[in-house]
Amino acid sequence: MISIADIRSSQNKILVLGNHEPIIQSILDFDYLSGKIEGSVVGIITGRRGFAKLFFGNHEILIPTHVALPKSSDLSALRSTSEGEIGTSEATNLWFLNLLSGRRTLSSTLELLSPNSSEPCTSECSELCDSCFVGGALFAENVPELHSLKLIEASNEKSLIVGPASVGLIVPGAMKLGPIGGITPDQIRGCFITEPGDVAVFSASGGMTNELINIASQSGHRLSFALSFGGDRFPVLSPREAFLLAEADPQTKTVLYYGELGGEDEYELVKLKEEGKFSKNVIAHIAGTVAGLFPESPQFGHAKAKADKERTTAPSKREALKSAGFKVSNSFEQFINLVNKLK
Amino acid sequence: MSRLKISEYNAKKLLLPNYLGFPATLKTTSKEIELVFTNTNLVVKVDQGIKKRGKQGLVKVNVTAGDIPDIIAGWSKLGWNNFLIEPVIEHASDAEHYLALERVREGWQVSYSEKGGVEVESSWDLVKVITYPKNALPKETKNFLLDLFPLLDKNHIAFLEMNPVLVRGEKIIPLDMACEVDSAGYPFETIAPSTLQESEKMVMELDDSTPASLKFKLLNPDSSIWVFLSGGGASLVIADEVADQGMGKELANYGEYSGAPTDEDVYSYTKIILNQLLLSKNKGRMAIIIAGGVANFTDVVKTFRGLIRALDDKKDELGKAKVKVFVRRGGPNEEKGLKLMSDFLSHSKLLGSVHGHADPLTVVVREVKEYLS
Repeated sequence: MISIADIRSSQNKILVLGNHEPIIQSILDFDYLSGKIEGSVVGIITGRRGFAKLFFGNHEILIPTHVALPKSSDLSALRSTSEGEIGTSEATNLWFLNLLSGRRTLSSTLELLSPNSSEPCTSECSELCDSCFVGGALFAENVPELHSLKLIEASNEKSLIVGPASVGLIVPGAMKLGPIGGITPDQIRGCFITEPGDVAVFSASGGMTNELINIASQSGHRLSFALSFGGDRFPVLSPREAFLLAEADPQTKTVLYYGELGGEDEYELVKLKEEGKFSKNVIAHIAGTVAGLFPESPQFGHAKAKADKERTTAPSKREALKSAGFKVSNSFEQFINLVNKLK
Repeated sequence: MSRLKISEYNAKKLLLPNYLGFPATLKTTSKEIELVFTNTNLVVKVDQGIKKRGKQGLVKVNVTAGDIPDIIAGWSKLGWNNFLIEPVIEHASDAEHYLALERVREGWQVSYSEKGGVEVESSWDLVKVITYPKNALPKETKNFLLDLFPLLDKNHIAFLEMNPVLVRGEKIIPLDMACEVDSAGYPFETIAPSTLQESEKMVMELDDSTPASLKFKLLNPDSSIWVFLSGGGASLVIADEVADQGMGKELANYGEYSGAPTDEDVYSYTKIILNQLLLSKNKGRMAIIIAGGVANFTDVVKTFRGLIRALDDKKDELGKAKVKVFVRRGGPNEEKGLKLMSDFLSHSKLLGSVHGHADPLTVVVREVKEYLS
């Protein structure tokens, strides 16, 4: 899997599936505000051949739209033909942003991960991946559990894929992959996601990703990277894998983690700590104590957010993380205070 | 979107070849039952996805077709309306085993115990838990499970508990089945929660009529804190904070709207909940929390217009009930939406506070605590 340091040190280009103008524009705004000389979106698969009109700063730009996924030879061309980049020796990572519906997420992503099998990836491809893409983000909600499991198998821990139901991945100054951090220029400026720092933000909820980014920036911190797993039961990139990315990233000093009741992901984090594979500072909040007021744990907004057994309730997970040595807040107010005290 | 229960009848029909079971309602006659079962030794049970039916007296064994309409009529008076009739399978009580399957990231988590039936609770430490395919399946059930897994996949079944289950050589006979499907993939009907208040039913009907998501659960109808929340994670965090700051007993409801509802949706939703609020026997001060995270796409002005219209209809009664409204919200059109809300609330003397995205998510909970104490 690509490392966060590699994302920072390379060019990152994004192919978008599905047209969602505000999200795509927010990526270009991020690029512009980060001081890049051009936008990172190299194409949009809309089902129609032509161009989409968007803005890079105050300039109108045209981004090619495609009928279907380009063949792998064209994909490698996409990576190298971006204006002003020809002849640069810098490596280019190609990413996808899948904005299609839950029903189409599996088939379209599998197609991305294994472009035309008769045309194997060119040697220009990074050794890290099976295909031309180093990773991507899956935006749709309502992806069946079984489809997520198939995507986990296909990604095979080699591609960095966040989601389903994820608002994306952001590496300040380098890449904004999805609506993460906001979709208006004011939001992007307001939470300083164009300036690199040393705090990583991981969250099961899209909205809470933005809350945590705001809390970090208002307490004077900047991000090393941030991502949303999505609120589904089987996120392709698991919290465990995200923690390993943070551990390996020299810029990251602290992880802010937001989790919810339901599922066993936090016990994997406990294991990481016990095995000595994770050593960095963590401030965690696990939501869902309100479930204790109900006779039977209700299903909350996110698909995963339901505790079927004691072990997966919010209090049990908070306790387990605490015993493993993580800083865990007892209320969200306390979480904010812990972040404010962070040096 | 989530794991939901399906009826035992539907689960068995999907999973067991040649399954003989008869779904019954209050209208079912003994004649109809006799047509299906020549056998007179029958079991009848409430089939609405509830736990511990046996202990609640919602299973009757060794009854005849003639007994059943009366039994069903009795249960129906308690509010139950879906039932299942099956032939009794004679067995010794120590032949009752326990088998449960749950879909996990690594495959299937299989729980198995020799001691099943009602005894499984008291002898939980005897339950062996393995993860397939990492571990081998329990020998007795191996072939049965290998046949079952593809059916579970095909039907997007995420959880299946068979208790008790009989093991007769190669033959596995589940007597009871509890089943949860992944609603994102399962196209058929799932079970609605069995005991709903009138206002909860109304919100559910409203929810079914719109592409947006509108949820409402009544906790304590006479309590003082009523919440209108938005955003999956933020809603949970704010409701938690009420409990974490020691006001759990004061929380009257859990309610969440999301997915860009229209002005009209929000108006109807708010009205149902305000009507329920005004029935509260609470004598002291009361608080409404309208709060959420920073919306990605939901238009703050649009949703606030619906909220304001409903609050406006009831402003006098709300004032008399000593209600104040506390607001925290961010997202598209935030400034304009907050201004609308704050103008309306001060004008109608319902203003607790109004905050935007720059203030902490849980700021209103602290303020509500001060207002109520």
